[in-house]
Amino acid sequence: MKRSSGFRQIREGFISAWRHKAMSVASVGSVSVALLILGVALLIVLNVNAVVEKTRENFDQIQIYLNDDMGYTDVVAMGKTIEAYPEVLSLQFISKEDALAEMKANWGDQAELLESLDTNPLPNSYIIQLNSIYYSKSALLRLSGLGGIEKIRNYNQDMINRLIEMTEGLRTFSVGLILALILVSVFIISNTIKLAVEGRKDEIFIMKSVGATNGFIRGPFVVEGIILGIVGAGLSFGVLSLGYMNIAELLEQAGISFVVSYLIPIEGIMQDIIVLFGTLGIGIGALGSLSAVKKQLGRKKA
Amino acid sequence: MIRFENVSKIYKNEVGALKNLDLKVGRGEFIFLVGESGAGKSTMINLLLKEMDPTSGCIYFDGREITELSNRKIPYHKRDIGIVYQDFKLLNHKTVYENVAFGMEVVGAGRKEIQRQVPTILSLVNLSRKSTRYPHELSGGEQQRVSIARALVNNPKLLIADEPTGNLDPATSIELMEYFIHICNKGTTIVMSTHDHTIVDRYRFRVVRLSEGELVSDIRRRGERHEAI
Repeated sequence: MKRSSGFRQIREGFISAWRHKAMSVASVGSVSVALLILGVALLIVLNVNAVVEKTRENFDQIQIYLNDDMGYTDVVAMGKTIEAYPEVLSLQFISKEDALAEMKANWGDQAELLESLDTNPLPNSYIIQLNSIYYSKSALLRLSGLGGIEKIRNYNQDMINRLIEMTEGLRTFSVGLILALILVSVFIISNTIKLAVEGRKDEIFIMKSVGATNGFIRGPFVVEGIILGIVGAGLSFGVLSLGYMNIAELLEQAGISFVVSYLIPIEGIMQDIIVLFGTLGIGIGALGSLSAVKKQLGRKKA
Repeated sequence: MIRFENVSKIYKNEVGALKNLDLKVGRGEFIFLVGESGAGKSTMINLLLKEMDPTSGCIYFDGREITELSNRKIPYHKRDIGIVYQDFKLLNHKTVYENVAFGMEVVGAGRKEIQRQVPTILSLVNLSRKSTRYPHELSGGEQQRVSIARALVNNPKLLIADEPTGNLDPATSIELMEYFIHICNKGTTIVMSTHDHTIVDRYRFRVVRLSEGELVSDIRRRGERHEAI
């Protein structure tokens, strides 16, 4: 395609979008609402994931306290058994002496109090590092079958489960919602472009009869759809990043400021969202306009 | 130039169908296509433009089997055929010049080429002095000449005129015919569908008559060449 006709197509696209202002506004609005909801859901999912990731090092550890009457060989044998579990990444033995020493170190000034003890009240223990947080349930099940364990200490299994369920639920829900919203946006843009197509029916008829290619006829409409998509995406991106920039303040007002320290910093996240929104905006716009001109470009029905 | 070989087109409701049509039109010929509404004239034109495909048979245009053309090639096929409609189909928000130039712009012609070609074609239909007028400022005959200019602007091999004088008074129709004859004499093949007996009787060109989808007569008359205006 020649340069001049490329410019012509882009210009026509802008003119047409301007001509149908009301519908263009509606299209931009629907695209930005769809993308805004997508963005909010995405930010929540990403942040919850980050929280899970960050606390994972604690969550995927299980500490088991051993009975004092266990002999050295039994303790070693137990260690071998646990190490062989598929869920287990590594195993660390902490003897009662190590534990006491650590406790003394932690207590600092008050460590003298511990000096007065005749015997060491702390048990031997193993710290089990799991392969993944997802394995903690099955690992716990296996451990509970072993003898010689005084107590199993894991980090709130319920909370782990809830976090995992929450992110997965949110992910499924938002994927569904976003797909629906994208469809709605495509439909609304398609209707806007249909208006433009309707208004230029005569021109399209002549273009076809003198032998303009379908691509050429489609060009301005696709440009128009893409403009609407991009503007919608830009708008929702603006709102989203503005909101995220001020999120710390909002959370503090809501009385849950402790969450703030877990948030992914804005710089780390917005670049990806720009790319995502841009792609989706262009895609929605192009898809909407293609479906709008399709009928006009067909041949006569037999 | 054009060859229909045993072409049939069947519609569900039977109106406007074609039955076993055989027809040859030579290069530079002028033919009148006559017959009642629904006799199959529009079907023939649509088949030539490849707006539709025949149910059976072959159609050749300029040595090519057009029933075989892929969808991608249809626009290029259409560039070889200019078409003029009864209702002119001009764009009212464009001037005469712009209407004609539009026919070139949309097939991707360069600006210089357009600036060279449009005035030439406008002088051919004697509208050079009205190039900045809008369609509503012109008479019916002038509007139809604009549409002829647009049909010719890409140098088609065939000009199809579909009831071109249907909206014009007799005097204007005859005047318009002179332009068609002039164009034909310059080498463009012309197929003109018409109901206008006066016109058909006045000019002694070949007359192809369709009735209920069949070719009922194909009369070649003597003295086909007419002097241009």
